[in-house]
Amino acid sequence: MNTTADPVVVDHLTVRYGKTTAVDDVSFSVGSGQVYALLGRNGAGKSSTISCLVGQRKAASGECRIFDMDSWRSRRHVMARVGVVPETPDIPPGASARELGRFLGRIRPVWNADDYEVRLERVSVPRRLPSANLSKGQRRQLALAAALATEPEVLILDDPTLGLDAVVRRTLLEELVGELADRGTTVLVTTHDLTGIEGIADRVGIMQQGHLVYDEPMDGLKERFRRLRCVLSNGCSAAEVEHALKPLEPAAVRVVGAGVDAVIGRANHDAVRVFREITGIAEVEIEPLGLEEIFVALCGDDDKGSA
Amino acid sequence: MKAFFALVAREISERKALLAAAAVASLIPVVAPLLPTTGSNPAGDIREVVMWFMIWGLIPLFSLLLGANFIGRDLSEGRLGFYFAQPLSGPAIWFGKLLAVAILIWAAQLILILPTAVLSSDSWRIVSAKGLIFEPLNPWISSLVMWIAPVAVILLAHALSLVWRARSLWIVVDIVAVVLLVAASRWVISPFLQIFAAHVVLAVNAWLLVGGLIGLLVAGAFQLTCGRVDAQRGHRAQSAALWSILAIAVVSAAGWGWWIRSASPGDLDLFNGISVGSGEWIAVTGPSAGRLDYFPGFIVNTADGRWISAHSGSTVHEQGVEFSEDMSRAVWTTPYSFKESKLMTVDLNDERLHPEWTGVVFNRYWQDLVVSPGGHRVAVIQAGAVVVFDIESGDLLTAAQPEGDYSAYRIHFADEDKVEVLTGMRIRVSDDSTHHRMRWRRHWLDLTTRSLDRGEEINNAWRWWGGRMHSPLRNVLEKREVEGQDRLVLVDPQDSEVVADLGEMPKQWSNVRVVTDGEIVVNRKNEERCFLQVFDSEGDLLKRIDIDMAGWAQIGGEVSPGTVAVGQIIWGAEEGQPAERSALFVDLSNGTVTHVLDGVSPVLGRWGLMGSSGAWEIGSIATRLMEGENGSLHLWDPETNELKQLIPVPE
Repeated sequence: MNTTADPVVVDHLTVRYGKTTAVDDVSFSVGSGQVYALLGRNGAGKSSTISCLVGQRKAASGECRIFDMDSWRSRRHVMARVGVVPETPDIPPGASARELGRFLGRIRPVWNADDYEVRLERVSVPRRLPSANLSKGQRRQLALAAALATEPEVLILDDPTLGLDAVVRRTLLEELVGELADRGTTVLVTTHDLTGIEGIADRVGIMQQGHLVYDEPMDGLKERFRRLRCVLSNGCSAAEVEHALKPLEPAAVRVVGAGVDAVIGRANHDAVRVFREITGIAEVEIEPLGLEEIFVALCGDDDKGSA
Repeated sequence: MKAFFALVAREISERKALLAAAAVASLIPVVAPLLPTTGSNPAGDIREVVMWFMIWGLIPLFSLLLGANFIGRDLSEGRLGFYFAQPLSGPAIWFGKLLAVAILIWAAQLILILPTAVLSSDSWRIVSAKGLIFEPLNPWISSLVMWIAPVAVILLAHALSLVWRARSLWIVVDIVAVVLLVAASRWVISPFLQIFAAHVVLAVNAWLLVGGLIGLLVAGAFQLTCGRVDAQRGHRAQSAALWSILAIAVVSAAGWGWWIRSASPGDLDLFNGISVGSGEWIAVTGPSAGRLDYFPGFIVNTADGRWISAHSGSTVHEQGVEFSEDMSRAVWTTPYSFKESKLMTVDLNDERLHPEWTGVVFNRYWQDLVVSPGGHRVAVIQAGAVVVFDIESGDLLTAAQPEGDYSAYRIHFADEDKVEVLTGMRIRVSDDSTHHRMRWRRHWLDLTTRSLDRGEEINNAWRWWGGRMHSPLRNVLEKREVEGQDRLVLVDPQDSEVVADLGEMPKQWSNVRVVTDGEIVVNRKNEERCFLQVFDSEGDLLKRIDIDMAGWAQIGGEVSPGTVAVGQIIWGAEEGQPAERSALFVDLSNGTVTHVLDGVSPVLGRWGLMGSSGAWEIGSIATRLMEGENGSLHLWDPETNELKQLIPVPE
């Protein structure tokens, strides 16, 4: 899957904080122009992965490469071509949007001042107010506007919609899609807004307790995972159904009254047909799932995440 | 560089509120004189005092706060990633942020000073802080401290704040390193501190301080380059860099200290102190290039060139080496601690020439130290009492305290068992006078019975002055300040009144020597030439002898009765380095020059330019020692007129 042409490559990355392993042997890559959504519950290791990827934290082992340059060793060169919007906006608190633009215009190799101004105007971010006095949403919009004005070849967004209301969230993501589709920018995004990212991401990676457990194209994932509902009859027990579901690779199984509600990971026609023919199982229904439902099914019982 | 200066400007802008605070505070000294409590003191003085209080109070506080937060706060609040997400290197972020806070603190300082300076008639002195402290050393040091110290505080505060914020186990390494560093620095400095070699101590301290500052500077860059937003990793990088650099500083200081103390006689540039026994041994000490005020000392055999290190000291050194009359033993003291000296000795008859500690330790502030003629005993005056030790065993033989208010001043071994002791008591000349004179007594300390007799009153202590100072003068030769001018005078020892004024005695180059028949020879110089003046023992001018010399004539020892060696030194362009030397032997009876030696000048002896009144025996080694170029020492042979090189010791 990883090719040297991929602008973003995470290769056997392990991150530790003392004795705690936050990221354990994670590998994935993001192809040119692709939008990669890295998902996971809080503490799954997403931000640690991003931190290493942008060269701010050193990996215990493995490496992160952007444009085939080691992110840690060549951070300065890498950052000339990468835009970063962190989980918590880290713009200096005394800097207004205008001062930030002036500063970035002097230190970045590319700075599109017009684009920056237009975006700020569109999202109504005051130019003269210090960033500390802006609302959380405005700060995030400011950080995004600054990152986009550098016209990055790779954009890394660490939970850009965190703390934003639904309207702002939707606007932000939609605008992002519009902007990036034109430029062919490669995007790596971590988010909890699964509905929002569903229509944007080309590929999805799901992390659980420091491990990357799924790394697939968005369409493939949605194609593979389906909701299966059925009714039990003739004394068929839930245990028997669970056994019967095994070929369908159930991600979650729930007994609801006299029926079973399951999320299966192998919804191909033949396997479902075999399941339908089992005695005691009736009214089998197969439904498509949204990304959020798939995510809940996959990570819903992961209560150990803490990193 | 554009990006670097953009970062500096951004950081200054981020903390510009500090300048406003300084501007408000700067008005306090201006309004201070208006307060009713300031009384009738001059307004300028009040402003300046209040301003310095503000500076010494606020600037360290500002530095501390800025230092602890300019990176630490960004780190703990997760904002440091902003700069790391830009194409800026770790060192650029560190030095940019540091330069910004340094500029801020300097600007705040200037703002605090400015109103007071503008209202003062001496604005430049206030702004530069020249001479505020460290005046005797160098008035510019206070300026340096005032403008550099805040940066040092910023660096230190940053390093400590990172240690505090990281809360990593590397704090153990830091604590161990601090303990080791303090111990090592003390070990390096202590030998020089004990001999009061202040310049060496200051140089070592300054070196360690510079090492510390460089260490903190580099450590910060390492922290941001290797640790970035990871505080624990940053702490590790900071500690590794800081302690490595400080270790290099301490090791290099220790190396320099070792080099300073491992001098050989050939390293001496000049001979400030020379003691000579009656035989072929001499003890020399003096400055040496690169060793500042540490003066290495040696005992050298003038016949065969053997030497050992002995009594190394500083410009504030104690009494030098003492030889026993039979030249079998030399003794000297070296610091044992800050309060105590230990007595060292060497058996000069032993081929190995091995210096040994006698086991004797006494109070460092002793007054006189003499060795017995056979070299078995040593007597020393401590707190007015005479204390005698056996050199071989190190045993205390006796400690004798003079009666009443008398204190021991000088001692002299008459033989192995008898010590001649001069005691004195300070009394007022008259009830209505503030002048004092000394009442002297001469005693015998019998070492067989260990008793000090009651003694007898003597009139002229200087005339006596023990067997070591055979002064033929009745009066005391003194340099005294008269109406703000240094003058050479003869003083009556009974009432300290001036008997005769022998003329001006400029500080640097004048010297005087008393010859055996009681005549006093003084060097003089006018605009045209230099000359000697010869006075009789009562201070009457007998004759003037013109000397054909360009500089000052330096009067050395009496090489034969009535003939003195006179040296000429023409100083070169390089400070303290003589360009030309010559020695003239002058017959005082007729003023003729009997012989000239080029390239050397007479050694003036332990008492330097003032000369020792008849301390040297006529024609002894002391009178014939000649100092040559590049710190060489020679012995002149009056029979062959040849010079024998003593130092550097010939191969």
